[in-house]
Amino acid sequence: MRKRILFKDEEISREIERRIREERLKEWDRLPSERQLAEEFGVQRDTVRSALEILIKKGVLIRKPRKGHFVAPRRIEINLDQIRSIIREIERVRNDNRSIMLNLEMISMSEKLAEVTQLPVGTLCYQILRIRYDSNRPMSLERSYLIAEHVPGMSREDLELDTLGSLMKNRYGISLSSVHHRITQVYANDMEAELLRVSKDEPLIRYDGMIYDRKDRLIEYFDNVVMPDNIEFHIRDFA
Amino acid sequence: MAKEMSIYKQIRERIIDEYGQCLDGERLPGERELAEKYSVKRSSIQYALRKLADEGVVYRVRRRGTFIRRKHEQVMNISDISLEENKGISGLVRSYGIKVKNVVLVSGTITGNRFLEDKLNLQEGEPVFALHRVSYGSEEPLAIEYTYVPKKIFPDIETFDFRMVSLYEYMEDKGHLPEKYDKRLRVVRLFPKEARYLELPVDHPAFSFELIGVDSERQPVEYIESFVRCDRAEFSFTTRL
Repeated sequence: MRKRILFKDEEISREIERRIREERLKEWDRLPSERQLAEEFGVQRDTVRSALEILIKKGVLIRKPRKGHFVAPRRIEINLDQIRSIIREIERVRNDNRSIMLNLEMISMSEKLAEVTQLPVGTLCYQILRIRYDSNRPMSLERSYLIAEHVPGMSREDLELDTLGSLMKNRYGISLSSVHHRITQVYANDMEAELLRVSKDEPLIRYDGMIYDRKDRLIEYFDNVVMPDNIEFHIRDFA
Repeated sequence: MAKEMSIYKQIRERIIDEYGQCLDGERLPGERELAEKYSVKRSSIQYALRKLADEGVVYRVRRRGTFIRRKHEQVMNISDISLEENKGISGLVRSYGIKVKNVVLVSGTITGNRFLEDKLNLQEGEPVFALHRVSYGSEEPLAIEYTYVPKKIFPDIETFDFRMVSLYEYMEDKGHLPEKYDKRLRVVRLFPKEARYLELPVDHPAFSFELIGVDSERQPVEYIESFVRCDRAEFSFTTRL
């Protein structure tokens, strides 16, 4: 007998995913019951359950005990190929009232930070710590480091009132020109676990990056940890 | 630029060959010394070191020099997935000097899968050729890769044995090499099947990639779903205005 290419549950999970898209189901819309789906696809309930399980792990569905399966909130899409989209995304994070600034202070770079940014140890920078919520659940912890010599006299009010792009441009004459990002998977440390309300060692996405201006000067280094289900990265090489 | 790239590649190979096994944090010889050693201009060395730093193979500390980041032995960078010579995950890993072995799990034709038809812009009922593979780097599982290509573009695909032939060489022969990609990256929890192949527990986090490759005429020629072990990969990308 020939080997199966896609198992029945894999096939059904993809078909359900396709229908969610085609029928434009919205966040929190409820799916038909397991029994209905089993009838519709002409398979055992176990197979449907396994297909739904795949979609839960993929972050497409959410299961509520005794209530059924619901379409999960859409992931925030970060388009890595469009700097405007990234800056906008970062600004949205900043000015969003769901984002709270926990701390702003001037620090001098540790050895570790100096290594990442390739700036000398001791370089002065503003360290900003923010936490961002998504429907009242913490979704990311965002640290950024603005190199102090490029933004002298910057205050908390500046950051709260203005977007990064316009603050840089209008007040400091800096035009941002490139972002170098990195995405890795990490496990929550004590502080992250506490602030994001997860257990220690919960898997998180670490999304860090460097923002340069037209003169190739590093303006900001950001280092975020994000709950994995909340985010996806997208790059399109063609129009 | 092309010349700079090719010199860079040679220097890169040599540096990785020679210093790739160094301990984390070990210092490379100075730029001048490297330039003499490889008989190239100092600017080429500078260019190569900058690129290697971008890739995370080395790191540089101002006024102190260039240091090896040992992590690169285990962690590859999945940024250049659409570069000519870096086709697919396995091509990429190979470029890191890791010996890669691909194991074909299953291959064959699928018809009537509307999900795949959508991804590849096909009409209902048009057949899709599926190739499921696991890549091993240095004998350890690295990624599981499900590739789907439209059969109407590659009608004789089933007569090839992709344990022996590279899929990308085959596609290039047919004049439909994927040139550009639409890529999506997420972190998901592993399902039992993928967990088994990646030798990780169920629910363990993994990178999940969804790639649609288009040829020079912007026609979709492959759709890939792949799961990559997070401990063996990182993803980086530069965006310019």
